[in-house]
Amino acid sequence: MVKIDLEGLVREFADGTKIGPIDLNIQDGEFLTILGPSGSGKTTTLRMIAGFIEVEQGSLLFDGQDMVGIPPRERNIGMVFQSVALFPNMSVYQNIAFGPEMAEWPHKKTVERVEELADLLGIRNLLFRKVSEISGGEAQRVGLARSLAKEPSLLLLDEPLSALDPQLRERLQTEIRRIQKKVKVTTIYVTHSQDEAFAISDRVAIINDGRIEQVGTPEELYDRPANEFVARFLGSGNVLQGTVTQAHGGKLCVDIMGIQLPVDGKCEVGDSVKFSIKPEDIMISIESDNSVATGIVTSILPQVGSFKINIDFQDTQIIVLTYDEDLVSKLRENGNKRVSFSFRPNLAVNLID
Amino acid sequence: MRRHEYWTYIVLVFPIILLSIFLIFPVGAVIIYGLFSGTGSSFMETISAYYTQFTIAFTLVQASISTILALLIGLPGALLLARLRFRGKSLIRALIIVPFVLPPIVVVVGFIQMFGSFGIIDSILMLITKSTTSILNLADGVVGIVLAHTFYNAPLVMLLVSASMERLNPEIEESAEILGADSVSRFRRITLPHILPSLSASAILTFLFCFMSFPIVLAFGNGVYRTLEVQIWNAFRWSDYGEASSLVLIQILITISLAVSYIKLGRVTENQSGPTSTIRTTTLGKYKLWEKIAITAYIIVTLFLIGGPIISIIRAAFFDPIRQVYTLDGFSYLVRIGSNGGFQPLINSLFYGGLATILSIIIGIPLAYAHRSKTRGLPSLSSTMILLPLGISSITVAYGLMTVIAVPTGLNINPWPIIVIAQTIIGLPFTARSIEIGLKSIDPNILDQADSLGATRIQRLLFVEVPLLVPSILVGAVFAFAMAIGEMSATLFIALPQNYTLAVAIYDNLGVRHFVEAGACSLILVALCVVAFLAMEKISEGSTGGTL
Repeated sequence: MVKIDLEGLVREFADGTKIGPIDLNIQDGEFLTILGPSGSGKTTTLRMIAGFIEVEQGSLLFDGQDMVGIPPRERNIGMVFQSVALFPNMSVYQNIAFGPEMAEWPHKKTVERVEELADLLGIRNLLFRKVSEISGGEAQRVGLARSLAKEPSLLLLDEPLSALDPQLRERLQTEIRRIQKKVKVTTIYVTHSQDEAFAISDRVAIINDGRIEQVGTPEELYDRPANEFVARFLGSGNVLQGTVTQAHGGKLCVDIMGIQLPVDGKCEVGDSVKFSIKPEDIMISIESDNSVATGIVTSILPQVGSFKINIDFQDTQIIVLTYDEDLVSKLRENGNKRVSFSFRPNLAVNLID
Repeated sequence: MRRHEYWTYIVLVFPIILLSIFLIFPVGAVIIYGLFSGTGSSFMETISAYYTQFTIAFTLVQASISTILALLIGLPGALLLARLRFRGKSLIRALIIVPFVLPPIVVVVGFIQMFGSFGIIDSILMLITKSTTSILNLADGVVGIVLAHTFYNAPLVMLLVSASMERLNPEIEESAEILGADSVSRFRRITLPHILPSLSASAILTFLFCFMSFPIVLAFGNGVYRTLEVQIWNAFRWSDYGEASSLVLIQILITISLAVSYIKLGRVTENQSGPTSTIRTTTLGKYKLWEKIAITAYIIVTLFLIGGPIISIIRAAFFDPIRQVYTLDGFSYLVRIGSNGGFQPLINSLFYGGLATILSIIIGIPLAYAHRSKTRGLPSLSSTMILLPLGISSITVAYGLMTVIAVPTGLNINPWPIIVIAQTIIGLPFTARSIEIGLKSIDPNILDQADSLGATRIQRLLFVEVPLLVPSILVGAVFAFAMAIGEMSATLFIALPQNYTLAVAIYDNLGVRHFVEAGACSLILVALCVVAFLAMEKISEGSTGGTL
């Protein structure tokens, strides 16, 4: 379909907020999600790609061709909006057929395309309903069909599922992914939900404060967050900070307020380092030993298949995931709540600021 | 039925009973009386008369032309108002409602001054051509009638349509854009269908107002061009009750059906309005050059047609076109006491207007509550009562009240209470609607909160509901007052010379070519209206459009 390159895209608004410079490459047929907290600039970036927001600097290349200054309707894009925004004065059929009609497709071809998409999305029985007579989930399907009708080379989705209940959202995620694979359209998806991004994407771009923090597959992002923001935002890491007291062949000893912790990494003695450890990589034991790190258990939350334990370590919250029910019942019985914890040095991930 | 429910019921039903006595009964009775008492022409004689047919045709034609013109001028304004982002937009929006609430007879004065002989435009043309006689007189005849109606109703179209446009979800337009629709197809396929209900509603409302227009047609029609409304008044003056009642019947059938279709459309619009979305706006700088020129030209024409007459009222108050001098005679007339003075009409205007305002509020509050009551039948009964005056013309109300109430009770010797009743009935739809909107916007959770904190019914009403309602009651009061002091039709119909209000005095002075006196009275009325409406904008913070 099309390969997208964002090169140094910048937009500054009258109120002082600045987006960019953004550099991002999306492969032909790839499903990329832009993930970030609200106000991070993810929708603005998407709207710059669509052409609704003007780009001030940088270039936006579709297969090498710069799209800056070209009106949205000539970019051959399909887009599903946050509010879905179906045309209320038209039937489902008319909504889906709108794009082909504007492109002046022959009537027969339009009808065939609408029917094909309706079958693909399972909305054939809705075609002659009014938009006011269909449910939220059905509206999403119609919106998706409408955006795909003209066979766009790029599909943009702006938090299309945010208004739906969790179960329906999950079902539609799978469906969007299935259809995207089937029609092989390059897709950019915007969301603030990590679960959604990880469930649906080939790659995820984490955005914060108008800048791309890290791009990678969900596994890469989760296992090796590049910086503190990514680690904290994905909830994958307990971020700890300390000073290197010993460095020997990639093995460090980091001092955190008097507690020495072994960590792998390449640093000099005296450097200040930040590193993250995933909750499931931390081991707890009830026998508290003064030579290792200890903390106070503040809460134990049962989750599906595991327990989430919060530990207060030198006023820092440390999250630990465990599957060990015996440990949990012992922790619950334990009066003084003080536990010691440790992790394998090679599982700590050094963070760059 | 529990005791307090019983009392609630009485309070809610009371305004409905009042309106039945002072509106439905008189109008119904006068139609029957006129048609069957044999005084004057019969129904068949009336409708087969050439003159009646001409009047009906003229009424319909002028209303149609005025409506089309009002739409043509109002629609671009509505689009601009919704789409364009500029400084002082809220002020412009507040000012746009002013022409609509100006008393029609004041509009007549402004029009004569702006477009009439020796008016501002005529004077300029005379200066250019060095002529000593009048060249152009647009404030006369059919042209004057249609222009004045357009002046009146184009702002209405702007307000209603722009309000509906602003509720268009910008993502819907963007969807269309990204699907390949250019600005023309976006307007045709998306925007136009979206505003169509409000466009039709404002068209019907405009048609209705032009159809029932009285003062403008009376002043510019020169007795040749008459609407049904004018002809009813004429027939009454010549004591041809048969003709008057026949015409009332014909008029009522048309106006009620128009009013009903307006309300039906209103329901559709309310259902379709999006929740919080607001249309995408742009600054003037984003437009192309030819678009900028078109927009500027439009604004100049609009200012000329709509702003011009209002500003000219100031000149009208000081400039005597007959003697061609500036004078303060108009204002000395206003303070002159006695039968030839303007002081009595001024006092009458304030007195009747004030009373009508108080009555409108007293009746309007229970009427609005009845509209929201859960008792079966009560809401629809009350909304009928609120909207009936919209479909029954002022002259019809006056005709009914005079014949059925005033004459039998002897009030026709000094009919001032009848004037107050007529003014109350005419302003009531606006008052009740404003209060009803206020009631609707009260969050029911707040009332439940009061209940849960142990407030009694009365406490809840006095300390929670009424304080929340005060702004909309004030808005309703301003509307009632503005309607009452500007009302000329029913007042002229009912009043004897000692009951003349300022509005009637303006007409009276125009008739004897006392232009500065009319101008001064108009300026006072305009000042009162503008002050009232600026106060209202302040109270309601720009939500007055909904009252229409």
